[in-house]
Amino acid sequence: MADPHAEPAPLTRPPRKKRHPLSGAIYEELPGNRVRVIKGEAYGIFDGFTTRHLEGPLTYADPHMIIWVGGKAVEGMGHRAERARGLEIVHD
Amino acid sequence: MALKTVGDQGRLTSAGYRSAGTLYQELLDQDSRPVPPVLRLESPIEPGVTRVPAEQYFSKAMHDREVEKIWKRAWQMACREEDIPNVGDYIVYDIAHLSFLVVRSAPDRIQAFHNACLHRGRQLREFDGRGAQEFRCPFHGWCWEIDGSLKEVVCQWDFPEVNERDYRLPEVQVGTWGGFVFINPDPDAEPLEQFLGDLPRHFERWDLANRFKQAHVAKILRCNWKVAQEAFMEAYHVVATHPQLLNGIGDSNSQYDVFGNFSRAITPNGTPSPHLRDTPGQQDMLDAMFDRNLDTPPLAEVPPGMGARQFAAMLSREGMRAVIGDDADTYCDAEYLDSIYYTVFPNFHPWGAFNRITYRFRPHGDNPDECIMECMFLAPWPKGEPRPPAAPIHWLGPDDDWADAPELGMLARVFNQDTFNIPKVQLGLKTMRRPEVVFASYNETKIRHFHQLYDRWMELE
Repeated sequence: MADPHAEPAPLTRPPRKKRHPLSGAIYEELPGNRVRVIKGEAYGIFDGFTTRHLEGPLTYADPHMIIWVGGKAVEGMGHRAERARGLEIVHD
Repeated sequence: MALKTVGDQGRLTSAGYRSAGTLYQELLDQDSRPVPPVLRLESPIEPGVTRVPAEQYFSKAMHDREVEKIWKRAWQMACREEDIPNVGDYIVYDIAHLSFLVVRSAPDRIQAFHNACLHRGRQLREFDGRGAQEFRCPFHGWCWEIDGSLKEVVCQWDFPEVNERDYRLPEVQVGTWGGFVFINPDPDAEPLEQFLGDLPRHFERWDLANRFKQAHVAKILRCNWKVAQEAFMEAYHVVATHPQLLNGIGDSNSQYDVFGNFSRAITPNGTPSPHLRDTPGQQDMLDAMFDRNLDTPPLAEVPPGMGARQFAAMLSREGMRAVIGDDADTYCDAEYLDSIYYTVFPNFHPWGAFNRITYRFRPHGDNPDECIMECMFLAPWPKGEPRPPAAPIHWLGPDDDWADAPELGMLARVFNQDTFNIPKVQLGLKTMRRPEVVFASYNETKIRHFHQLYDRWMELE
């Protein structure tokens, strides 16, 4: 059985990290599907799938930004040359 | 006290209140190529908000009425022609509790039948199939030719009144447009061509018949089909649901138009959201479009003297040149960059130009709290090469992550943001104090237009 206190496996790719274009808060992906949000002096750590607060004095952050930074990666994405061709300019 | 306006402050124009940002037609004036007339068309809906009773999204009685008034009467996209390329190929098209068999019965003929045996009513087929030579009921073995004519009855001597004329499989109307197959169960319905109106003219430059189905993902969602599709009919949600895009997307300055039984939105890319307090630089806009992370180098750098919009269009044009050759030069920047998304009543959403998306939303059985959302990617293929085979449907369950469909690329992660909201909308609709939801005069034009048509079809007016 997996040890619930074990350190999460490190990310196998560079972490996603974004500045929120409206609030200016920094959202950074952590191992174990978590997201650290830093806003001013405060920080919070959130579950990257459910957006639930896990630790830190900042208890609420933009759930959609948390999902974007912390959500599951898409296999095969991140090939820079392919994306730079401009074929993946998407919104829904 | 006056209500505070957040973000885009808006302005009064000759057409009514619009975004304070650059209007879409003004952006088109800056295009590096001639802009086709279809993008210059403007046909706004009349101003005014629309209120819709919340129970329309969860009431079983409303669902039952939709079956009778809409799904039994309206033209609806059943599949792509390429899904059934050979004689005998068929798909099962289910909508609510209705089921239809859509079959290629001859090289140039597609027919559709009610998917039920005329003996005891068993569904003839539950899954799509290839190369059928007949449809034999698995229960007692009654059998029909693929053109619907009765072929065999087991112990025919026991059914003296069953004859070929009266026991053909009941047929429903079929029409095609853009490589799509539509059906209509109503024998008295107007022809598909009449129903679609000017839609084919809008797509003259973007012939969807000459695209192949590169991907097809279907996911069950825990919300009403209208809740789901309305989340994909406007860019008003981008500011809250997709904030990572704001530096490179014109959300509240999208253009919205209505035309008969269809509507259209155009959301520009490579231009900043009017909600932003400070205008981002050209590189910031490009970085947002390519989802650049902090502390990483840019995927591409905007050359001096060029804007992000023009540069991104150039990249996209050159990418497309590998597929369509020098025809790539005949399309303007907007056709490479912008999201041009149509809605054909009741549930069909083809996108224009080179964005590959087509959506369909439909009820999941008779549960008004669930639906099926489908996304197809329709892509051109290199000239002179044979059409690639159509992708089969990749099904995702309600708890599956969109990222489990890697064929959707980055769009999978965008969908995760959207579908994070919509089951919670379905719950909220049942607990909200006001009995109705309200749609914006302009930014929610397409939803307002849908509900105008919906009320008419449902005879709620």
